[in-house]
Amino acid sequence: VAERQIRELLGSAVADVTPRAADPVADVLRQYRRHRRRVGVAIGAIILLLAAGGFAAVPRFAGGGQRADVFASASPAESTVPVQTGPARPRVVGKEVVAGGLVMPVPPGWHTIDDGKTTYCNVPPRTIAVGFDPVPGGSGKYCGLKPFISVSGARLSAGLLGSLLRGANLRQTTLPGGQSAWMTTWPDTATATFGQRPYNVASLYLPWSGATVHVALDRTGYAEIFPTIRTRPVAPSTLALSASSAQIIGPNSLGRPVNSGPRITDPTVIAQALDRLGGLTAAASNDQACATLNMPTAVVWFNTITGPAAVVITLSDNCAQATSSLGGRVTVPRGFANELWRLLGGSGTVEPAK
Amino acid sequence: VTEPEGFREFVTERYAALVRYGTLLTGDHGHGEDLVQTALITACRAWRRLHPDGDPEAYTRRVMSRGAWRAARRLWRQEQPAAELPETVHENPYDMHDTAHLVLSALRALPAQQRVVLVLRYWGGLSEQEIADQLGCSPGTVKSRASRAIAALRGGHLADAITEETR
Repeated sequence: VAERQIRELLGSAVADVTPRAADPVADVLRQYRRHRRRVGVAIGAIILLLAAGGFAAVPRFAGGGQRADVFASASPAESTVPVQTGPARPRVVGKEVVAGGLVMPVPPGWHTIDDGKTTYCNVPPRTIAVGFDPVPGGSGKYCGLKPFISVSGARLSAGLLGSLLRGANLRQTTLPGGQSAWMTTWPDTATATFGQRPYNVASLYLPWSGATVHVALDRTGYAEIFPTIRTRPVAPSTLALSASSAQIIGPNSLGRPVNSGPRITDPTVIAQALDRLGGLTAAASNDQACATLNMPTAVVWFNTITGPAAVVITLSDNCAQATSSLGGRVTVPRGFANELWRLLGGSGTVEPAK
Repeated sequence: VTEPEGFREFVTERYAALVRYGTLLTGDHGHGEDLVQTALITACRAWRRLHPDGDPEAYTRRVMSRGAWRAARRLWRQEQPAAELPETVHENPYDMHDTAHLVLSALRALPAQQRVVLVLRYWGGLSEQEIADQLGCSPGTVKSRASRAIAALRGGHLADAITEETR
């Protein structure tokens, strides 16, 4: 194969790629300082624990960034948890897989693995991979599809958000316990990759838990297992937001967010959008959370100094709520989404006509 | 933490090129830029060894390629990143046909390890032994990954763009 041709193709693929970061030096140094602080805090905490003779406490600390409530709460469903700011560290607690505020009971007949190494081909059917994703692509796709779940930590990156939107079927739902989840399914991909139906290959991202769940289940398994996933409640709050640029993606005729407005970098416009979203003060409690999978949805993709953030807005007459990946869920008044859509450069309207 | 001497100049001068490299290694602009920033943090920590007598760009690229190689164990196959948000209303917003889009789509469709080897071999111009040394694997692994990557590209939408001229 002509090396020159491949080199030229690769070159053409990135010829127009330009950095998105306005000040990469500042971004890198900011992350570097944050990394050093985290390391310093961790070392300090270990020293304090050891100095206090708290060897017994070390296993409890071994979860790193994991919240203490994962280990400590005797009645987790009743206590609120903070929004996870980074990827969760999934682990098996008793007969449940816990990742941030996500709790997934291990279904009867299933087992868990957490070695981080097992390849997809070697994963037995009815396995939950905890903390890693055995890759079912590449050579794995020739192993066929099988009942399989993975629970892993994830932060909202441009890749993940783009991936959820790429499915052109991003939907928001509310899990038992009240946390919002963004879900996309890949039926066509599953068919193309595995040639098998009626498997559902679905990805579920819980922005407040820093966790992703991937499932490949037949319809029966899907109906039995999916409803068992629950979450620990997060205290109601207004939207947490920040941004350096923004882009709004409105729903298509099926209600899926694929119709994109322009990318906005005008600080004045962004400030207005943040001001409007920040002005929504009707925080929705976990009991009031109402998003379900069949509701039309709009997404505002924000770029922040620490990465992307998203506000997902359900546009149903019965449930108009905005949820921020950084925390907070509020009820939005009728007309708000249209106003935001136009402010961020969209034409027409996004809310369903009454 | 003060800014290491020479770090700003290095990043300012080479950041765009590193982002292009990261985009190829991951098949995605967003992931690629994330990869660059993560590698630059590592470079910042090692800066005293890299400046003024070392080669910070080679070090950063090595960190990036290793990071992309290891990512093969983490990324869910179906969770391929979108190239870009769609800019216009379109029923199938990803149905674009420009070369850049096709190539990046083809790269994303490759398993991560094949993609990394392909980029190091053909974009970086490294030999199989050099790639093996950089990634900590055997030359045989490099050879097989490269071979499969080429076969996959020739079997996909890029078939017309890649002819069998030489081996």
